[in-house]
Amino acid sequence: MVRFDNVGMRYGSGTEILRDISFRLPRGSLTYLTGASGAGKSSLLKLIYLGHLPSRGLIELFGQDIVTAPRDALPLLRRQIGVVFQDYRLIDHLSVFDNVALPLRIAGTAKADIAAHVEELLGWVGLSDKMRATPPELSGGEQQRVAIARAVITRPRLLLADEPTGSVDPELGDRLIHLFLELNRIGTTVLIATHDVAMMERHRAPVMRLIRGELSIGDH
Amino acid sequence: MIACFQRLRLLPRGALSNRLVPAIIACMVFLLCLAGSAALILHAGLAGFQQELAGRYTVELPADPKGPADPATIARVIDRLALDPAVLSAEPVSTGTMARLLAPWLGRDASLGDLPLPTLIDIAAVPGSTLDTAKLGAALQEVAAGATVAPAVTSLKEIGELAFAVELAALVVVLLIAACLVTVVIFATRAGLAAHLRLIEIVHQIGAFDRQIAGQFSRHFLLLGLAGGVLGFVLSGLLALAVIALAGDAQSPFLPAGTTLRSSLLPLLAVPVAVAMIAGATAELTVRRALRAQV
Ligand SMILES: Nc1ncnc2c1ncn2[C@@H]1O[C@H](COP(=O)(O)OP(=O)(O)O)[C@@H](O)[C@H]1O
Ligand SMILES: [Mg+2]
Repeated sequence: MVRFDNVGMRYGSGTEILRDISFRLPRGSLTYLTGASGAGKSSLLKLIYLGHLPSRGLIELFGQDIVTAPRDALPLLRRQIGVVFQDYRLIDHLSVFDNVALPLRIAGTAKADIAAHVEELLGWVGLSDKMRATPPELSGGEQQRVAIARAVITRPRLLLADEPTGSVDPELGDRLIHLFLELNRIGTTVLIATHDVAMMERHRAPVMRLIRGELSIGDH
Repeated sequence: MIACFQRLRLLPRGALSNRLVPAIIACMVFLLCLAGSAALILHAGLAGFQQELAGRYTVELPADPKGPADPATIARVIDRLALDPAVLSAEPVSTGTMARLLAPWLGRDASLGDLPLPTLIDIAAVPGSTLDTAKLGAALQEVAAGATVAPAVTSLKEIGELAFAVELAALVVVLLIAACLVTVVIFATRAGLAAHLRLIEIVHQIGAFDRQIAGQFSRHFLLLGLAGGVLGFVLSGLLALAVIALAGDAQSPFLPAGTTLRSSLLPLLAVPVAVAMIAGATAELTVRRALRAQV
């Protein structure tokens, strides 16, 4: 599903902030990506969701080499990846409904299907009564649930979450993890970047640890 | 697929750029339409003026201190002129017309009877033909000694050069304003887009094709440009109508028949259309460039 071989990454002409990264995420797996702040977790996710190109090495997504892939092939790959950004990246002037519907609209889903899907999913994340609100009118936890709904509305094959429990209380954090576990059970490959040790102990899964830009793999 | 995407109103309705971009464009279009209509009127006026003078000649019978030339002499001159196949018509310039022509120098109430004025006969040549003024002048000596024939304006060439210079100046003004307009449209569009870079990035990340995103923005800014362009055009049209109402859309002495402010504004309809297209194209290019900077 995801394969990295000796990948390096740098911003601009700076030094490499990721070095010799090699790993595989099997189909249907759930994996934690951990490491101290600044270790490069967000940057590694960025490589996977095609937000940045590696400075060297090989990256394969769904069996396709993304470094040699033509630019026009990338949007279709991105549509198979759901991302919950650390800062949510919702569109403030669109309603909750329109934010969550956005990936379906971009993919050209029929209007009737969009309404049904979005309403069902917003019910599932407990935001049925906030569909017409805009993100600035929501609490942090509600915004995060909108971000998650937008990330999974297209039933992506791969779900990436960047510090999903970072800014919510432990109880809500637990509910989020259950949501990810649920999605994982129905076949979604999940990668969660986090430094929430308590969470990783409650819900055990393989852990990839970044230490100053280098990866060590093993159980927590 | 793209049609579905475009059903989404991606850009905020209340954004500052939604008002600023059309307002700036409206001002520039207004100025351009004013300069443009002035240039068009000038062009039509000068062309008509030149054309009108081109076929006109004047016979001058020397002033007689005893009074105006006698009508019999004038009649003989006109009969003689009619023999020339190049002459379409010949008419004496009436004292009333003379008075009007001389009013700026002599005052409205001057009595022309007191002045030794030459008698003028206005000749219109058959369109496209030229009078041989020397030959005609020699022939006229038989009926009126001292008569001379000359083109209505002695130096048509000089007027042509002056007209060319004036039109060139008008054209330079129009081109300068047009250049400013294009620059303003481009900058206003870019500034309007700058507020949406985050939006572009998010939509890109969610898997939109470049052409989907650029299409949204080019359509949006095309409409903004059209709104501003039409507003500016309408404002300049209103000003033209106000001028017409005040001055009357009457035949100005400087304008040939058929030249009116109304007719001069019509070709300028191209301005708002062009402005809208420039705004749309700028948005398309700017968004595509912003997207190409990303993976
Ligand atoms: N856009 C960027 N431009 C330049 N440097 C960056 C950028 N984003 C992150 N970095 C740097 O890359 C390193 C890793 O950052 P990041 O991936 O955000 O780590 P983490 O998510 O583990 O906290 C840090 O040193 C950070 O300063
Ligand atoms: Mg981070």
